[in-house]
Amino acid sequence: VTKGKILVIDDSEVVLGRIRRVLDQAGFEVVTTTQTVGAARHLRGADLVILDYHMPGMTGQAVAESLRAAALAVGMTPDIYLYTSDPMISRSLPGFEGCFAKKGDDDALLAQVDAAFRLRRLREAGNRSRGL
Amino acid sequence: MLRRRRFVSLGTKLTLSVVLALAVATFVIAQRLGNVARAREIEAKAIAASMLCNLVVESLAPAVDFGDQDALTTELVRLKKNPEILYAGVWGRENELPLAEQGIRTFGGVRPPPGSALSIGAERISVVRELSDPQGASLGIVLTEFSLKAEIARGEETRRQILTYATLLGLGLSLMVFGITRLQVIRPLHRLVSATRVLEGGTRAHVQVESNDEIGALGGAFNAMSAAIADRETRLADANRELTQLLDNMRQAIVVFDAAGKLVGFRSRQADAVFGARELEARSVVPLLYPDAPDGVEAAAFRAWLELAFSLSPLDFQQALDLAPPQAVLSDGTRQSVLSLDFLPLAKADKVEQIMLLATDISEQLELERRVRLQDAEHAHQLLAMRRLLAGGGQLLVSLLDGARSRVEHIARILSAPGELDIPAIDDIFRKVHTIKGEARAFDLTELGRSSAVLEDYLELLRSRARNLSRLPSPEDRQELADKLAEVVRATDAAATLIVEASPIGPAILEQVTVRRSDLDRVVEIAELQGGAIYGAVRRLAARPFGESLLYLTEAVPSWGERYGKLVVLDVEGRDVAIPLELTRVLPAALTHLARNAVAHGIETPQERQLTEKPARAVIQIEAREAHDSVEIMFRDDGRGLDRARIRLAAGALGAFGSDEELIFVPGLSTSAQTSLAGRGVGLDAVRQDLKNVGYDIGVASGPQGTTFRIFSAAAPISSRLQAQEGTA
Repeated sequence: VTKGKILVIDDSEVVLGRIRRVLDQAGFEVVTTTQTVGAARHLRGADLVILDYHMPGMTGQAVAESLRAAALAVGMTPDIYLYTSDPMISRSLPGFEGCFAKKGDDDALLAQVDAAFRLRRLREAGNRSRGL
Repeated sequence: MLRRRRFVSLGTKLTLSVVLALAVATFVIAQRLGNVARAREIEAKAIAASMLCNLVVESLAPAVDFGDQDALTTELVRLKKNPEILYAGVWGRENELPLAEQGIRTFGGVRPPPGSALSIGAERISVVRELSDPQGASLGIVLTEFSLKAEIARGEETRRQILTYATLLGLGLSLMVFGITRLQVIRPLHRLVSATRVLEGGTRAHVQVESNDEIGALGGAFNAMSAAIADRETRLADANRELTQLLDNMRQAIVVFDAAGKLVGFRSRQADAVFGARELEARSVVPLLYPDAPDGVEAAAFRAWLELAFSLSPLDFQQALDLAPPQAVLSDGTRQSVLSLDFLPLAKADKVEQIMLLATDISEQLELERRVRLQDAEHAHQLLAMRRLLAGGGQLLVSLLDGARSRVEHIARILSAPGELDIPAIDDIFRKVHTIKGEARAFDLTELGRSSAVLEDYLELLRSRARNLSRLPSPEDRQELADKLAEVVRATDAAATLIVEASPIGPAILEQVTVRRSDLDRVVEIAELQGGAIYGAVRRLAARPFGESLLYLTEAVPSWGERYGKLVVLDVEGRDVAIPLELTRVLPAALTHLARNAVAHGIETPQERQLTEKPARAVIQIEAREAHDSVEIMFRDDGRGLDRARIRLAAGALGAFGSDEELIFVPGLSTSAQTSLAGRGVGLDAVRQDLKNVGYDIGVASGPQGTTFRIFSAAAPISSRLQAQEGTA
């Protein structure tokens, strides 16, 4: 039983390998891909999507939009987060639940992923209590 | 509904009641007294009227008797002149109409009933008298009506006077009541009220008790209560102070916040240390925990949690704890502190009013755990390698790998050979792979075992197809086999790398053979007798890799460091340098001694090292190198160097002279307190003596950046002597 499934999209295999190792050790099920086009096929069962912003061909925003459309079609609502240390990007985030900061700090990544999952559960609990 | 009523003074109430009671009493009394006075006046008037009428009858009787109308009228006019008389009328024996009358009668001209009578009305008195002649025969009747106006007026006057006096008396009484109440009740009560206010303000209050009545008793009770409260306050304050001290002394930073996230009330001293007093002034818990990213996902999750936590009943709070942040990381630019977070609900009336946050800085603990984990891993790794190698497994492993390689080559040849891959060929490959798998598993070479098992499974499949379906492997199957074989080759190479890594003598492990030491010693003895080239060759044969002399140290140094609270790593160079046999007999003890000294004395604690800007982790570097015809061993630590002052002091006590570098080798010299590791004064001189016995010497160089010992061949080492002999022979 894993703590949840996470899809990570980044154009660097090195970055992905590192993220995969960190999240894997922390007990998450991790799927990583460098493919921005067709990333939606990895979406099945994912609770969380972590996106790089600067990727060749497509911005994180465009990827997020296409993922969300694909998720909606199958009735899924993954939380999509941007992963960047660039404060300019993190400031305005239409299409994202939020932004993970401090890229490269493994401990900070774990703390933020944990918080994102807590936030998801809190939202679900809130929806339940409101009878939604 | 409870309405706040206006304050009305007790004195006012009392006075008003007194005034009201007096007014009613005065009115009733005045009324009654007035009535009595009037009744008396009227009675007197009635008697007077009766007497006057008797006289009137006397004077009127002759006129009526003689029928003298004029005299009758004159008499009545005279009578009417009396202002008290309102009416006077005379009737004959039978006539309904009066014979004569003066004034206005109350009831018209009706003849009054016969017989004497006196009646008192509201405003007048009517008197009827019988007129009779001297013989007593009735002549008629006389009606006289008298006014009561004067009497009524006098009665009113009396009542007014009574009212006036009673009012004055009432006012006087009220004033007196008011004064007494004010003096005896209101003022003491006022004092009590203000004393209560003082008490509410938290100061002990005392009221002056003077009277010996109920108010006095109340004052006494108040003073007793005030004293009790003050006493309780003092005890409560003491308890609070103790609690605060207790919480302050805990390593936890404690703050309390409300549903809006605002900090309220108590905070522990540690909170100032952990969060910073200035940050606490922000008065809100979110920026306190997430100062770098108040809008980040962690802060968002915390805010959402606050909403949930404050909406629950205290009993359900436990459920919310699962979703509370377990940790927060604070950074002050230079160092990060990891806080472990605990939350306690502070409930009031079945509702979570506030939450207490207990934050514990666990950075040091985490760092320690990480260090222990690293050391554990290193330790386990070393032990495993050591166990295999000490069991002679070094050579076994190497031969296993050699065997695996030759088997792989054999398989590769079969695969690349032209023609069909028939059942005997598959069986041949299968046997080889099976052997590789078995050996790999025996030596815990996981990856090699796994890859060879995969290959074996595939061969099993091909073999069963060939046997049962008479279908020999296709070129695709061959390719698949080749790919799986490549995996085995990769795993073999990885295992070889691992063995070299784990080997205390480095890559030399791949070329080692095992012989018995006793056999070797015997060979050396025989060769020494013969001398010459054979002896030199035997000596080289008997030499051992330098790494072997360090078997004990690699494990011991980190554990000594742990015992002394020091971080030490051992860095070894030249593991495979051949150490002459005689030196291998003393070298482990000598190096152990130097390493123990370094860990116990030379190397500083991580804190001390940080002060001198050295890395926290100290390094002991031991290097062996070939020098001329012999070997040279350098032992370096990056500690604080020799304690020269102490060396001279200790040397002075022993009466020894010379440079510090020489003095440390003086027998019996010790600079430090005795410890379990070092400091008994037998040591460096013994080390030097041992080395000298086998033709070596030791020297030292030292500075604030560390100490270096050099073990080198003495001026006339046995080996050079032998070589010299060889040369002359």
